[in-house]
Amino acid sequence: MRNFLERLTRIDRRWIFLALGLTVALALLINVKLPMTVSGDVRQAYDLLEKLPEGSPVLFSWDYDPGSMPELYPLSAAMLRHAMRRNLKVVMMGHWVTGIPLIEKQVSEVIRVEFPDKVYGRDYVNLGYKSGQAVLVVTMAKSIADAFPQDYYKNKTDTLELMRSVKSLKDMGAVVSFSAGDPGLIMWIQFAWQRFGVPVTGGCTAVSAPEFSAYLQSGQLMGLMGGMRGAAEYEALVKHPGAASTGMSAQSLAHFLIVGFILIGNLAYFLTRKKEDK
Amino acid sequence: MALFGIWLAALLTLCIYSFLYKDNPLYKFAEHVYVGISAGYFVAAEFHNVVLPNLWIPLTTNFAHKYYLIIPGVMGLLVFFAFSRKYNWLLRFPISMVVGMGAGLSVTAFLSTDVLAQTQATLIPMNSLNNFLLVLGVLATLVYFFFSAEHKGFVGAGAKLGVWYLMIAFGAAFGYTVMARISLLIGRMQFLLGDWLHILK
Repeated sequence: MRNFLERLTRIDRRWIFLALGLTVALALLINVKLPMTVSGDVRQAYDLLEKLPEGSPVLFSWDYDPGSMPELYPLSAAMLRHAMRRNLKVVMMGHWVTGIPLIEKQVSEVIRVEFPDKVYGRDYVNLGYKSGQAVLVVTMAKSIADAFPQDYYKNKTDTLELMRSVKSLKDMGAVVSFSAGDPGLIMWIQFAWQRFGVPVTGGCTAVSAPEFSAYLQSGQLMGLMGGMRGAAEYEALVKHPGAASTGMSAQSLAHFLIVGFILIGNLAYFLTRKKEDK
Repeated sequence: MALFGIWLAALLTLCIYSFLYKDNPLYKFAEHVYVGISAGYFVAAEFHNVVLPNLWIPLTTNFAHKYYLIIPGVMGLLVFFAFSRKYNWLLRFPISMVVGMGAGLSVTAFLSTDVLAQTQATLIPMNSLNNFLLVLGVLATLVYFFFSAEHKGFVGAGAKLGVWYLMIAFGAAFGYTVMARISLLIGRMQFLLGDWLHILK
């Protein structure tokens, strides 16, 4: 028994990787369904878009890259779907250059397939990428056309129908940032909300979710979707389960496995240590 | 072409995951491809999305009204003197401008967002358990970081409570980090089993 416990404390980490990989793969293949509840933070973000008057402009900022797709791509799809259903006018942009092709992917997968009546330039606009971070946001508060003279397709921004009524950041009903780091959500809170009073919400990777709790509590952030769980909850609210909802069951099973490993490891450690002490 | 892209992405993903077994040439190859492509993509994107529409096109089409853009344009060009041993001092001008502007913007933003607004959000009546725990946690954690008095007696008890609050915060942060990493694994699995092998329902 003691040998077995000692072996457990020295287990090669590659076996743990293998077990984790197999657990996730099996959960996805079997398509396990586990119950899920919607948290208040996610509902607050949903309500922000839900309560905007029809036709209000909202700014969606794709501040992530393909590395964070599993967490933020399903969320941006769900929120874009929600905005389109509510007939909000969506202005899209990004602070991360590698995130811009994801806007195009999202437009072709969500808007063109599910909302074929939506017209580019009238119902939604893709401004593309621009560097500058905080300077860019401040410039946008003065004039969006100054910050983005051209949209993603090289059209002059001020000639687009939607952009004729939305001149600056201050005209937006809300700013939604899908954020994998900096520049991202924190910068929108610091400038769009704190300086120009535009309500800010969004989603972030799970790694940065605890950092934003303080902003939620202080009312500087109107709702937050943290990681794949936040995305799955938003998918539940818009009643369109997608990749995040499927992934959450695998997530839960992987967490069970990790907790199991931690318990076994600690048990083996304490039992073997006790015997050594004797 | 899309099929080729999926196969390429799948093979590169497997190359990266091979690091979990041990460091090897396949992993190194995928890593170098990733870094090289990212850098090249970034340079091209900056040129087409920033330099052309915000500098070159306005100057070449409407010079009389946009002549002031020459200043940031020259500042940008000065950056390339980093490659000259004799004239690299010229680099100081654009760097000083960027640092000064960055500091000016971020200091005020940080003060108003993180210091003033967060302090204000902590000045709350302790009329509920949540509010009480929040205020107590902030005070105890601040006491822990107060090093001008020895952590003994009342200060020591406060500091100890502060450590507990810090441990809970670190635990929550660690839990979220685990969730993030598992999410990435799930994303890759969905790609490999779904987009590549087509065996997901």
